[in-house]
Amino acid sequence: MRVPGWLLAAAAVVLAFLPHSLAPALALVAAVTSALLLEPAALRRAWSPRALVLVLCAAALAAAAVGWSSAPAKGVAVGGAVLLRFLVLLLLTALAARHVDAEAVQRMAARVGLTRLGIALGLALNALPHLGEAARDAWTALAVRGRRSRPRATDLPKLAEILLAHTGRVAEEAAAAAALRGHRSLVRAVPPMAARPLVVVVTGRPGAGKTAAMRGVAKALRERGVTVAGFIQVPVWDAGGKGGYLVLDVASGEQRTLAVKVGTGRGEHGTPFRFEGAGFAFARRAAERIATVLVLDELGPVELRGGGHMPAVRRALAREGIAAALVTVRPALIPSLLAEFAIPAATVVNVEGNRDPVPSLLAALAPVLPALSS
Amino acid sequence: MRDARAWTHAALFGSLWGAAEVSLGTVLKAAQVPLSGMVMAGVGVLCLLTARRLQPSPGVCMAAGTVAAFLKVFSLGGLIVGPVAGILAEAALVELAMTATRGSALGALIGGALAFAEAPLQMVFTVVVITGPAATAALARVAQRLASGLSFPAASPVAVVGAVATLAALIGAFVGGISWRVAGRVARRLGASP
Repeated sequence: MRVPGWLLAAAAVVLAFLPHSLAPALALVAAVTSALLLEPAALRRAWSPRALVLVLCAAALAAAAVGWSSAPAKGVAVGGAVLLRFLVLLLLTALAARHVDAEAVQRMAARVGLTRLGIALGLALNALPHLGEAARDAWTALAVRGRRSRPRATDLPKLAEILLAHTGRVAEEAAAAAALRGHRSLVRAVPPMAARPLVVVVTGRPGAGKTAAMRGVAKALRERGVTVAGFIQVPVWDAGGKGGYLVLDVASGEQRTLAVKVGTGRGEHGTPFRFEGAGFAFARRAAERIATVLVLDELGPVELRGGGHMPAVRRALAREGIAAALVTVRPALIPSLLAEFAIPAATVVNVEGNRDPVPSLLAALAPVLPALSS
Repeated sequence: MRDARAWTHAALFGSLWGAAEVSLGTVLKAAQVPLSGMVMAGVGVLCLLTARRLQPSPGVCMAAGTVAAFLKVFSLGGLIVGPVAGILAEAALVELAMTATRGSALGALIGGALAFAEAPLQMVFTVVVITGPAATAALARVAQRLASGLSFPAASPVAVVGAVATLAALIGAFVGGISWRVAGRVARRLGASP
């Protein structure tokens, strides 16, 4: 009886707003029948005494206003229609609230071609309890830090910031988990790469020495007679911290400006930096050079959204003749990177706490560069 | 939105907004706290702008709004059609402003203003939909007669709604600016950079 029940509920929604004097009454009949088929208890839940008083007041107000300004008979008709519409909406809301769960929503969304939105709704439902717990924990932590029994109202902005940041972290983790499990429903299908070089992922937190490791391994490879191409993003530091980025052509050693800090809220791609088109073009030419090993430092959130260096990187990785690619990426973005290029297996080298990561990187490249082993 | 992270951000920030609507929104409404609608609109703008700042892809705000509206269905309060429509409209307006300005601070100001101005306009719209045009015209005449009785003879209903919407928009622009700054602090806390 579920399908007829929901069909009647949908008909009730349509009827409730049809411009005909009989439509609200028919809508109520459809809604009540729908509730009887799906869940009779919804009638009592929806039409609680408090809700009925509110609805009657609203209907009486509308009736009085219309009756006063035009004719009493018209007032009664309008008041009756308002009453019936409210009763229908209350009942349908009560039904929807009880019968909708994450799986049902996903199934329904998939049926109408909105699979990704369905997954997002399911994820949101499952995340609700976790976010509630996080809010309570943050609230308690703020009180403990302030050595008070409970936080003050002035702590609310801090609480909001903590909660929003936590939500952002959970969202990153959810995306990573989806990518690791090969759950590709949330992203469009990526065409498989023509060539599949060995991918060595160089990772570590910001400032861990990823870029230094890339420069070191590029030098070591050249010393062993291996041709190396690609680009390295070199941060430029000033008094205010990271002031921008230069892009270095690994093969030629030339540099160009890639990004300049313009301030929070004025940058591009949600960053405080303005990017130079010439810098991206320079990096693209560097990645297009013929070489055995390709160095790509660094692929960040902008690239994994399809922007920045991504088009050039995609073309370069699809080229024949590359034995291996060294790709720098932050730990949280590794799953997204693997999913983006449909890479089934990769060697991950974490440079954190590693004083000289170059030998580890050379060892990771050895399977496709036997000369490095000898 | 082709990146899974954009979808998960929309889901999570929509969930946060929906949770706030279901819990805080219901409590404020039940306690008859004045301007509770504006408080909840502020929460919505903050969630939308943070999601958009962390994931600057078109569609993130709209998806987050859809998620929040969906969760509002589970609200303890009885009538949720109005709030659900309000949440969707707020998300659509912020999305429009942010997409038109390519995700800049100006978009946050405009988005905040539009989101806050939407509430009084939606109230008028709801009255028109629920009671019909004839009843709305009658209600407008009643309001005008009451206004003339209170020495506001020149104030037409349209002018009053316009003035309220303008005031709400100014407050909304301020809230949008503050939310954009908070979103920036969140982005820095998460180390969002190229």
